[in-house]
Amino acid sequence: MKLALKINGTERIVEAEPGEVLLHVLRREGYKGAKFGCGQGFCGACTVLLDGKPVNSCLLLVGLLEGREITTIEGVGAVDRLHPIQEAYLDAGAVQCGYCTPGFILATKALLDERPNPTDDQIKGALDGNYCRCTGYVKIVAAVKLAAKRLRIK
Amino acid sequence: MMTRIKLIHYPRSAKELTALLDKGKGRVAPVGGGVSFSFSSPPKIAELASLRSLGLDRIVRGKNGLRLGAMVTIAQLAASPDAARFRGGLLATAASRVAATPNRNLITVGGNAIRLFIWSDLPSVYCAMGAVFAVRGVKGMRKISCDEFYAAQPLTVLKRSEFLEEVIVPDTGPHSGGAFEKFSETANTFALVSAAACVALGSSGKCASARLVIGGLQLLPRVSKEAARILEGQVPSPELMRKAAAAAVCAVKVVRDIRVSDEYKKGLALTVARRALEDAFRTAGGKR
Repeated sequence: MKLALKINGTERIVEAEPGEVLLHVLRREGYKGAKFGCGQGFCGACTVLLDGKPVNSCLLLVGLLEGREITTIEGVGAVDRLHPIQEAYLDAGAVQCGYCTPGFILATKALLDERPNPTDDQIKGALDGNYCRCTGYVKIVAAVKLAAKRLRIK
Repeated sequence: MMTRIKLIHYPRSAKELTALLDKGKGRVAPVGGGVSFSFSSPPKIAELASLRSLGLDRIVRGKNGLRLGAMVTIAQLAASPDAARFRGGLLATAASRVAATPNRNLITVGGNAIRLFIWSDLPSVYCAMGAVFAVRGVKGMRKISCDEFYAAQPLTVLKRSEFLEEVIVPDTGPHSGGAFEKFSETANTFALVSAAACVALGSSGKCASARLVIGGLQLLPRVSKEAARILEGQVPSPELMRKAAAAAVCAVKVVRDIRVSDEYKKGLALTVARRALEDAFRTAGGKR
């Protein structure tokens, strides 16, 4: 079936089976920032924003998304023009292998869009669906605080 | 991952949806967030009909209670000011304990109520609160009590053309309270055991009603008649609550859980159920 999706602000017509999950369709269409991790909605490697909210793209049937707005990591920043959240993750040393990072950045973006000055508990709550098996979480929380500070100053 | 789903309909009205379900003869299923269909869809189901265009994504504070549309997400329920003010915020509290943020943004009230898992949190809470399930089919709307709705797998309770439209949680009188307790290995994972309790005190300080539901032990949530028998008509005390919790746990046949032994779960359930009762009576007595 042909589906109209708005991906990173651009209207796209994509070919997909209605029973396919969004993650696979995105990766086939070249949006490789969303990763396959557990495939069961636990790890958050596949996180994208659906109408601004973080969701597991491995659990989303693409056929249900006609007309919805999807943001992937490719819509947040570019290699030569990083988003302040991405810069903060690098500066705080919150990235190691990087597999989980797109999911964390998107969950952080959703949080800071809603709460520009979150508390530690609010940060931990917002990132509770994203697992990192390299860094631990201390530097990730520090990165979110740094990003929040920089975005407030901007 | 690919499911067997071949077609997705977007009906514009409840009438259109019920006609589709009826004509589909079990091959078409209503769908909200679609989470459970993404990893397991019954072999017979080849088409889905989305509830998205039916305006069921609202929480309404009605005259007699709180009405939760089937398309309300668990995140919406957790953040709802109406839910936070209603019956001590029990629904909002329980919703905030369901899984993790990205899951709560996807899972809907309807899907969560209908497609039961042993660890589902909210169905126990609906039962403790005495919720009613409004379902609509080709012959119109009917309301099903929580006891009837969860007497078997809800999908088997619904007729072919019916879908869940709303969960209606009734108001309670004065001197009533409720609590939800959950024990899981981490904050955002499935419950090992949970308990929901709603109680009311009479003017003499005696327990007028007690609805205790233990989750995580068996698939179908069930209000414990055993606990009610012990508590109702008595002045609540720690000893009585312990006895009631024990009676409720004893009456449950534990479904095997690969994470822990049955004995461990029962021991845990005893503590979790007692705590839920204590908190519920505390709030019924005016203490928060």
